[in-house]
Amino acid sequence: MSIDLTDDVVLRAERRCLAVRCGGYGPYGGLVRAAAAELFTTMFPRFVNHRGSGALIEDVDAFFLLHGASRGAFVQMGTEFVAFMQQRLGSSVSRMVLEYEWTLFDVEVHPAVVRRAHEVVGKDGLMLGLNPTLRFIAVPSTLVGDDPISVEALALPPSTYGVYRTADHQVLTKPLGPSDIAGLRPFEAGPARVYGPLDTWLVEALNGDLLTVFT
Amino acid sequence: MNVHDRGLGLRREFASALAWGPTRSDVDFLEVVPDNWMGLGGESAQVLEAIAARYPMVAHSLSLSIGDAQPLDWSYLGAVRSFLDRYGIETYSDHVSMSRDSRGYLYELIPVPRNEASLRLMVEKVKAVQDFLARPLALENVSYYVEETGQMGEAEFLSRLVEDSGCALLLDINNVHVNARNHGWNAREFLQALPEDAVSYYHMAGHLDLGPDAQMLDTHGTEVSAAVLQLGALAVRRFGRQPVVLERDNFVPSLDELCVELNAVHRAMTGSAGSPA
Repeated sequence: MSIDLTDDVVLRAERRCLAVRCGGYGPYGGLVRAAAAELFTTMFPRFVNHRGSGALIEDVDAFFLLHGASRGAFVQMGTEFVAFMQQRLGSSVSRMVLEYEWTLFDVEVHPAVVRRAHEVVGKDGLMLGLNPTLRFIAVPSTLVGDDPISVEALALPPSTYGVYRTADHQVLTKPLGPSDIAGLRPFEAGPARVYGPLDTWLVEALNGDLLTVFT
Repeated sequence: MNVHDRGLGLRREFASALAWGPTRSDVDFLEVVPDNWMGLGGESAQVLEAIAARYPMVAHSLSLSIGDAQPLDWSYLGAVRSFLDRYGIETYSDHVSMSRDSRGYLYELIPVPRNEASLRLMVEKVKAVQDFLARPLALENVSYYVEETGQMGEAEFLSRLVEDSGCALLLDINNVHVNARNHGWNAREFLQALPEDAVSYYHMAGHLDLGPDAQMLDTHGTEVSAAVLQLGALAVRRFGRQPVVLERDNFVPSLDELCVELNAVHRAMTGSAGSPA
């Protein structure tokens, strides 16, 4: 299909949108920013709380001035805000908080179906694999709790966690010790068949949905 | 439209109640915003699957940006088509607006320049969208807060868009009321200026009125006002009894309260007690 994009149409539309990006065109510059700030506050509440409302206003303003989102839906808008802020924040506590909250959100809406495995634990020759929503992160322990975030607390050495969604849609951040990492390693490359009685770790990993059964 | 009379804009606040609670007899269908559900897994997907199995749905998107000056976003349209096919949705609508420039998307419905060139471009785009989706497209009149001089009147622009492209009009009664008040024209004359067979369904919503010296805002955050209900009844007399959707996006009350309001709105517009279904 060929659509005739005349210069006049393009110029008028571009002028309106540019005015909005710059904060004007009647109330639209403000409406766009208010809607985005509300969205980001809903998606990343701890980041916004840590960053402060004044800084968020400046961030949102810069986002519309400097960035062109490739999609209009809220998921993509939030994701592109994170990518934009990664550049803006550099290496900082705020960036760590934002990335962690984005990981929680990404896991929550991941399109994969998580199958409950505990009903088949007694069977032999099961094809087991990592929970398809599982993400590994290394962050200070203070980040994953509900305590207020402080710069000092986040200076602690990082620990390893697995963030994943259970079959009943709970998003968990599970600390991973050496035995967990060793237990997960055989499945890093993909699902693997397991013969014989399952050891305690495998049973617990299946019961907790860290691992799941593939057919 | 293969749905009945009384529709409710689907919100996450009450999606689980619709998915898992008793099937309601006081709402006939739901209007879902694809942009808020497409590509999401987990609980969102499960809830929407359950709702789709219990209620007819129509789709009302936010990012078609049919009035912008960019080529159509075929990737977005492909995702919309997959969504419509997956849930068996035949009725699809978006807005007479733009939300994108050459740099990318904005998060708002910005009014379209109303001139001949813009109209011709929109007509071409509407036809292409309808061909691609293999469904009729309905477009909603939006509320707008800036009126540039020298533009075509909104009623003329919408009428010609409908007639030249073959799309339908999703008539948002509240937006007519808000625009009439903000820009000083007559809402009844506006309705009279639209083609009688243009409207495929109605939106009803609340607005924020901060007084005569401030612009009225289309907030979807209050109950539908008496003036909008009266205008809705007039619209039904002119365009016929079509499905009506109650939208509520801010200060969302309980599902029970919304359904009570939906039925009151429906009665006020049609004089009817509810769906024959």
